[in-house]
Amino acid sequence: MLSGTAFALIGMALAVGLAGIGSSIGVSKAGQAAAGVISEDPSKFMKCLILQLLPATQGLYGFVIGFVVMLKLNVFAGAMVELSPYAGLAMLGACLPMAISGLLSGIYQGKVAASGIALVAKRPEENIKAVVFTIMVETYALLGLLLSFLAVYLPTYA
Amino acid sequence: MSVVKMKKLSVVGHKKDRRRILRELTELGVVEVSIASEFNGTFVDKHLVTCETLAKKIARLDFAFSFLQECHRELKKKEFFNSIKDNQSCLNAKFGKENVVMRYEELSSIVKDEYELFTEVDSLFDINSELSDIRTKKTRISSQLSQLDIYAELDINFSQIKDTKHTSVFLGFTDIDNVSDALSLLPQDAIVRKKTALNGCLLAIIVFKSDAESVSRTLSSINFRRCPFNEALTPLEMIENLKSQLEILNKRRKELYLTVAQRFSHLKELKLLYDFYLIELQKAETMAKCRETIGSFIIEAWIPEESELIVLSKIESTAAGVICKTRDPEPHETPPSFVRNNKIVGAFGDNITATFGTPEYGGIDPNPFVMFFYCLFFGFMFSDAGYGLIMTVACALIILIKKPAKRSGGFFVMFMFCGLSTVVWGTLFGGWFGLTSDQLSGNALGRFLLSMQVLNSMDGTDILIMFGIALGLGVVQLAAGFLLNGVELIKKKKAASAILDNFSWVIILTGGGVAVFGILLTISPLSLAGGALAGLGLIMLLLGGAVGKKNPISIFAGAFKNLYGSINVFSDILSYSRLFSLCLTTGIIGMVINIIAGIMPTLLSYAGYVVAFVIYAGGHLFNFAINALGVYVHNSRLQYVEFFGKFFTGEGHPFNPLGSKTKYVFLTDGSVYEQQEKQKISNP
Repeated sequence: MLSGTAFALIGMALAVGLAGIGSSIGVSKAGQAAAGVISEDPSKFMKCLILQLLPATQGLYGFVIGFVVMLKLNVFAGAMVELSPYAGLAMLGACLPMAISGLLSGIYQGKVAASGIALVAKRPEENIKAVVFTIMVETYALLGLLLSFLAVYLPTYA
Repeated sequence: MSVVKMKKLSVVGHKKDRRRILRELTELGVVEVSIASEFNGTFVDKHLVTCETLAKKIARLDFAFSFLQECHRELKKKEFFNSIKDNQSCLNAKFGKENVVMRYEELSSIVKDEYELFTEVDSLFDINSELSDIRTKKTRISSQLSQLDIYAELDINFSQIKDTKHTSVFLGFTDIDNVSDALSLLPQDAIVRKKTALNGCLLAIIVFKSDAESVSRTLSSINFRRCPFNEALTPLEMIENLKSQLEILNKRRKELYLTVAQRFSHLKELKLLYDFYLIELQKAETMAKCRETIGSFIIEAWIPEESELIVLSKIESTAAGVICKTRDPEPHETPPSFVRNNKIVGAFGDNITATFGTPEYGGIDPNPFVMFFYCLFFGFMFSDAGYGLIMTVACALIILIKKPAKRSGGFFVMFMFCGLSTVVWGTLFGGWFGLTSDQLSGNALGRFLLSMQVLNSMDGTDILIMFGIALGLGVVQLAAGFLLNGVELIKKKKAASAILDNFSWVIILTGGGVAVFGILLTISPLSLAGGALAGLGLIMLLLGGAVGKKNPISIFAGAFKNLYGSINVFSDILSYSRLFSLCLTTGIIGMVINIIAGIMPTLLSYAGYVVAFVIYAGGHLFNFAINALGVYVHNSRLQYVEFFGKFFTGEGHPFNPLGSKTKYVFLTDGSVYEQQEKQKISNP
């Protein structure tokens, strides 16, 4: 018989994994750009670091959703809840907004962060503007987080 | 608490008094010189030469700072530890801004030491060039040493290896291991000695001169590099020689750095001199803006209205025969925007608003509103009272201990208030270091904290209420934005647009809010009244699109455009859902850290407690840092995009009085000066 719990865990894996991939690609892109700038001017380290860290949040959001799935499955109390295949699939579906938006927004936010770091290299005093540009991308990861959270947490899955 | 009213000041005086008057204007700290209008018979003397000399002096000082900083990094290394451990001025050297407020007069007194200080700078120049000389020499020696290493086992002088009348000698090295193919191409009578050495092999080949050319070609195919040395020394002797040279260079290098270590005691004086010249440069640039005749000069400047009397009396007492006049700005002029806030509102203004822009002259000062909303949202998003408490206490301690001069501590003032707001929201949400309510109810303190909790982020209904509050806060901020824009438009005598395009939104948002409230609490009169109010607003909005148009199609199109524009407002409201999302993230990650740390003692017995402690401390530190950063940037975005987008363009140009741009010290400004004067008047 199909286990719904397994589906739910796949959903958790996707939310944590894909959002994590998105963040790691984003952070690494920004990090490469930052290393270039730092080689010229180490004093810009903090400004570059802030920009580099911005795409890191998708991974955290994915993690939050994964955690909420585990809460719902009662993993921490020991015996896992046995879900019906439909409930499990539903929970997997609920994880997808975070998984997909986390993956793609992380990558694209990394690109903007890298450009922002180039901006900081030329005009360090404008760093906050670079941050604001980068943050614009994150809105969509936040919306994904919100919907996934509500969809995983609120309903009763059986 | 607003954008200060400005006046235009004109000063006409004798040229001989110009320097003194400029000094006085700088000392006042509230005078921004503007480009003087043209008068017949006046001209502009560019004073470019002075600017250039001043810029050169500044560049020399700049060099001194960067060189000292570089040496400071070097001196902190282990090799110098013993030599400088008693040299406090070197150990504690700071290259940033000093936490000092002084009067311009005090700063100017530094110029009497100028000669000594620049001599010092020149000696730093010499030391720098000697150091770079040493660096070049050291690189050359180490590259020679690495080449010599290859020949280390040769026990004859290099000069002994030379061509004879009939033979040529090829001594050299190739980094190719397999050379036997190439060697087989050499003439039969060639004498070949081969020795495998580091990363390749050493070759000595003796051939008849007639074959030399072809051998050289063969050898170049295996990347053969001939030995570059011909000294009358053996390789070992040479190595010894170079090593002793290297030692001498290293010793000299150390000496030079230690000489520099003695120079840090003048760092503060150099900083003062730097700022003095920075202001001199500003003054020279100011002079270049002013018009003059053969014997007189004109200065035109902006001053805050409130400083008018003091500025006039100061200038008039400086030189006899000076004529000063002030007038209100004319409609075609745009005075600079001098935003004067108290310390707390100013902290938000300097750190949030200023990065976006400066209010227009005569426009609304958004800073008090920014302060209110920024604090409010920060607490909601950060949402952990424990973290908020730490933030508040840490910022308060920094302010108390460091006593930041003037407004340099604004960053900490801002976060102190944000921390307070976090404590309030965190208490309402029951967020204490990510502890769950079960964990909290385990002891008396926890139960007390829980008793103040109003909403539980782990409860289904409460979650929706929190989400609703987040959007509601957004509605409030947007309504405030529209309201401010409306007020602004009324000031500009555009009442129709103010009422129909802006107040309509205030009404829609208020009405909508009331209606939603009514529906949630099932109070039907409330929801009806709210709905009606929102409907009224909507009609006003549609009217706003139609006003001033005659053609029925364009009336319809205008109304539709306004209706369509409302999509933007709804997406703006949705944008406030980030308040809720970030609020969740802090709590949940904190909770995960506690769970992971909590299972350590069961997993690893006693060692587990240590690991658990590390996870608690490190994890919460990480959660604090990453969320504070996230909240800071998302909160700024809400102000810049959603809030400012409604009413604030930030296109004013900031007030930039003479003497305000210093790099290393703070100068007293006019406001302080005025207070002193007032005190003098009140206690003569």
